[in-house]
Formats: sequence, C-alpha cells, structure tokens
Amino acid sequence: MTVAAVEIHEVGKALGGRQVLDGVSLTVPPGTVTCVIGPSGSGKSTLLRCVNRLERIDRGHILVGGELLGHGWRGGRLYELPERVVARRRAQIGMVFQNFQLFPHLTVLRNIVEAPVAVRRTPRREAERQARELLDRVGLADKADVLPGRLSGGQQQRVAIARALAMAPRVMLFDEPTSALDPELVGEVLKVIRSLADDGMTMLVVTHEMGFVREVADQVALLDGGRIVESGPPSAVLDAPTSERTARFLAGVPH
Amino acid sequence: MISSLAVRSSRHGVHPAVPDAAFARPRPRPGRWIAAAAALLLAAMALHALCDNPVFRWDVVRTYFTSHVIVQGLLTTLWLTAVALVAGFSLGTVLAVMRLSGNPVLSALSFGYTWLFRSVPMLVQLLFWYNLSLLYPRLSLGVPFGPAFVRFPTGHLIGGFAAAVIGLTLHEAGQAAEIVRAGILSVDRGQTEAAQALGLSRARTLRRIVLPQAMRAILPPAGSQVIGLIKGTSIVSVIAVQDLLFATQLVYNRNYLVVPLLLVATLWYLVLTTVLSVLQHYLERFFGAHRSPR
Repeated sequence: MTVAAVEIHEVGKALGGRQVLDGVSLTVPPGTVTCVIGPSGSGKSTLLRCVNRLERIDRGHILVGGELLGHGWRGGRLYELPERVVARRRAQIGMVFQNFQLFPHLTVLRNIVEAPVAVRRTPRREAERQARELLDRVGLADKADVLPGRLSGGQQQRVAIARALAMAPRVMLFDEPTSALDPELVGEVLKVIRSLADDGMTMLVVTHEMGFVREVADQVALLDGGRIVESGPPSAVLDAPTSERTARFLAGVPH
Repeated sequence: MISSLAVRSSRHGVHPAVPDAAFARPRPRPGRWIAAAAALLLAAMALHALCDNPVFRWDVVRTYFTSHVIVQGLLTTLWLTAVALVAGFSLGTVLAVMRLSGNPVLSALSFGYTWLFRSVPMLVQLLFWYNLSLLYPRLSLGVPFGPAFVRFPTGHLIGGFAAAVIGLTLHEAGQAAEIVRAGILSVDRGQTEAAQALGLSRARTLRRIVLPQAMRAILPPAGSQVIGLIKGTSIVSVIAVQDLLFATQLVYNRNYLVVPLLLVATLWYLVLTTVLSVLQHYLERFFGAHRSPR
C-alpha cells in the first residue's frame, strides 16, 4: 500500500478552553481530493491549519507524505524540530486562504517568486520563468507586474493558487477558497482548482460549494463539533447520509 | 397640486419644469466670509508686528544666518539628530520585536526599558549621562560579576557630545519601540501565516513581508517623532554641546542681540522641519503605493 498523502490520526486541539478538534481521523490518499464540509465553527479551518502546523495539535498526530511536520522521532519519543526544518517541510504543503493573503506591497510576479527564491534557492530568473508559466495556467499571464490591489477577488485567489503551486507542493490545502468572493467570481476559481484535480494533485479542501464537492471530491467528510460525523464518497454522504446530523446540515445548504 | 405630482411621477424621463441640479444656486454663507476676514486680519496684524518691530533687527538675522559659528552649530544639530534617529529606531525595532516575541524574559525586558525611558524626562537623562562619572567612576570590561580585564575612568570616556548621543538615542529608542510595535501589530496576522505556509523563515517574513507593510502605520508618528527629536536636540545646550541653539547663545552672550539670534535659530529649525515634512510626504507615498485609493 502506498503512503497516504495526509494521515490525520486521533487529533485533538483546544483553543481558548474549547475543544475545537476532538479525536479527528482522516486519510487522504495520494492523487485524490478530500472535501471537508460542516457548519461554521465545526473546526474545519482549524483542522486544515493543523495539517501545515499553523496551529499545534494537543494530541494525536498528522503525517504528511509519511512524515511528521513538527517533530522528529527517536527511541519511541517525539522531539520538536528546529524551526528551520519545520519551515522546509511546511514548504511542501501549499495553502490557499479564504481571504487570499497576497502580499499587497509586492507585484503578482514577486508574490509568486518570493518563496522559491528564498526557501528553495531557485535562481531568480528561473523562478520568474516558472511563475509566468503558472500565471498562464491560471489565466493571468498579463497581470504579472500588477499589484494585487488592482485585481478582482477571483483574480487574487488565482494568483494565490499560483503562488502556492510555485513551491511544487505535494499536497494543496484550500481553506474556503471561494467564501470571500462575489458569486460571479466563484466559478473561475473553482475551475482552476478542478483543473488541478484533473492533473492528479492531492488536495484537502474546506468548502461550502456542494456542487463542486459532488463533482470533484473523491471523499467527503462532515465535521461537526470537532468530530467527523460521516465520511465517504460524495454520492453516499450527500445523497444517502446515514447520520441524522448530516441530513440536517445538508438540508440547510443549497446544492 | 396633487394632480401635477401624479403627472410627474408617471413620467420617467426628464421633466422640463424642474431645473437641473447643476445650476442650483448655493446657499449664501455670510458667516464664512466674516470668519475668514477676521482670521486674515489677525494674521496680517501678527505679521506686521513681526516685521515692523525694530528689535527684531532683520539685518542682524541676515548677517548671522549663514555665519560660520551658526552653521557649525547647525551641523552638530543635524549630526546629533541623524545618529539618534538611526540608532534610536534600530534599537527601537529590536525592542519592538523583543516585546512581540514569545519569549517572556525578552518581552518583559523590552517593556521595562520602554517604561523607564519614556518616563524619565530627556533633560534628566542627559544630566545623568553627563555626570556618569559621579555614579560609576570607572568602567571595566571583563567577566560579568567576575574579574575585570580593562578599566577606564568614565570622566574621559563620556564628554558632552557622547552623553548627548547616548541620551538622545536611548530616549528615542523608547519612543520608537512603541511606534514600531504599533506598526507591526497593524499588519494582518494572516500575512505572517501566509509567509509561514510558504516556508519563509521568521526573519525573512519580518523583513520582507511585515515591516514594509508596517511602514504605512509607522511613518506618520515617526515623522512627528523625528521633528520632535530635531527640536529636542536643543536641550543638549545645557551640557555645553555646541548645537544650533548653543551656537546662537554663544553669539548673543557676546553682542547682546538676543532676539535676532534666537530668530536665526528659529528660522533654521523651521527650515529643517519643513524639509523633513516634505521627505515624510514622499516616503508615505512610496510605502502606501500598494493601497489603491478607495
């Protein structure tokens, strides 16, 4: 059996005295798309942020490509890795945020080039060539020298995707990538994500777009109260939910 | 009346009976004119008092404005300002980062520093540094709390100028720490997270992502701070550093032309702050360029 791209095992996490994640287990096989759905405050974003260690977990473990992100392993005990090593491992995981988080003072091109040059030591010229290719791929080849503030939300999010892809990540995490967009801009972003899925990119996507889930996901997990209530292929979870909680959630969202 | 309104609302196009808003006559505002005239009159009177009084001796002002001793003093003031500005803001940035770091000891030390140096008046501090030899007659280099390798007497080490530089820098750092801290806090935490998610190191995130954006919030208070610093340097005349003010005092102690020489100093301070304000304007434009106007 191949190593799972992401393996989340019995993860618990408390934030501000509240148990946000309460024993979550989820496995993302390589080359597949897993969508996490659930009501707001159910811990979806926190789960995603734990995967690339923007948040620390209290218990359990998360393996990405068979590797622990923040810890090494010796004699049956974990020891915390130096920040430098964590940063290097983190760079193998691409993350796209709900509100884009492009660097507003850098042009689109420099947004994309920053990490490959600083972290991977790619020569700037080479990094820029790759960045232009990626921009072409997300349909923004003509926006390379523009500041992010001049772009629409949909365009900004596509740049953010290109920026994450520039590090050639093994896994992409999407944290509600279309929630901050005007309705007419959602489509262009989903199209880009869909094309990544078609290319076999491994993805973990938190989303409310049920149409997208149905079309792209190999696996859906419904998170509620910090626990996974139900998971399985979209046809099963969305059309024939076994739990009453899932049915109630699905009844409340358009799809 | 009612029937005519009904007719109007039923038509959706232009109504010839209602003139266009573009040609509306503005409401008369006599109060504005009176206030403006009164203010102008007061300003004219002040200006007249300034130019007409023979005690001002504008001819003397003109003679001394670029005289050697004054220009020397001016250069000292500029030099003091520049050193205290660069050193103060560098130390202030370090203090701000210490304060925001997760390390409780560094954070507390930074807080303590800022508390102390913002509380003690600059004049008191300058006098302390100038009289350091009374407090610690000798300084030594060696193992902390252990044996010393080299000792030197403090009296020779810290003269007036060094005391001024140290005092101004440490004072400035306390202020700068708070300004820089506020600037860093003004940047969305998500920016740091995005940089971290890309694998950028903490130092690079701070230098390339956070600080350039923090500049927008740092510059306006920093500008006021630097203008305050330029004027603040005049305090060093009490410890006999020959800055701009001290130079004018030297001259008027000889020739008793107190008012025109104070005017010379005043005009130079005006020139300096004006140049700084213009510089600040362009810096703000440069660092705020990514913000498109709303």
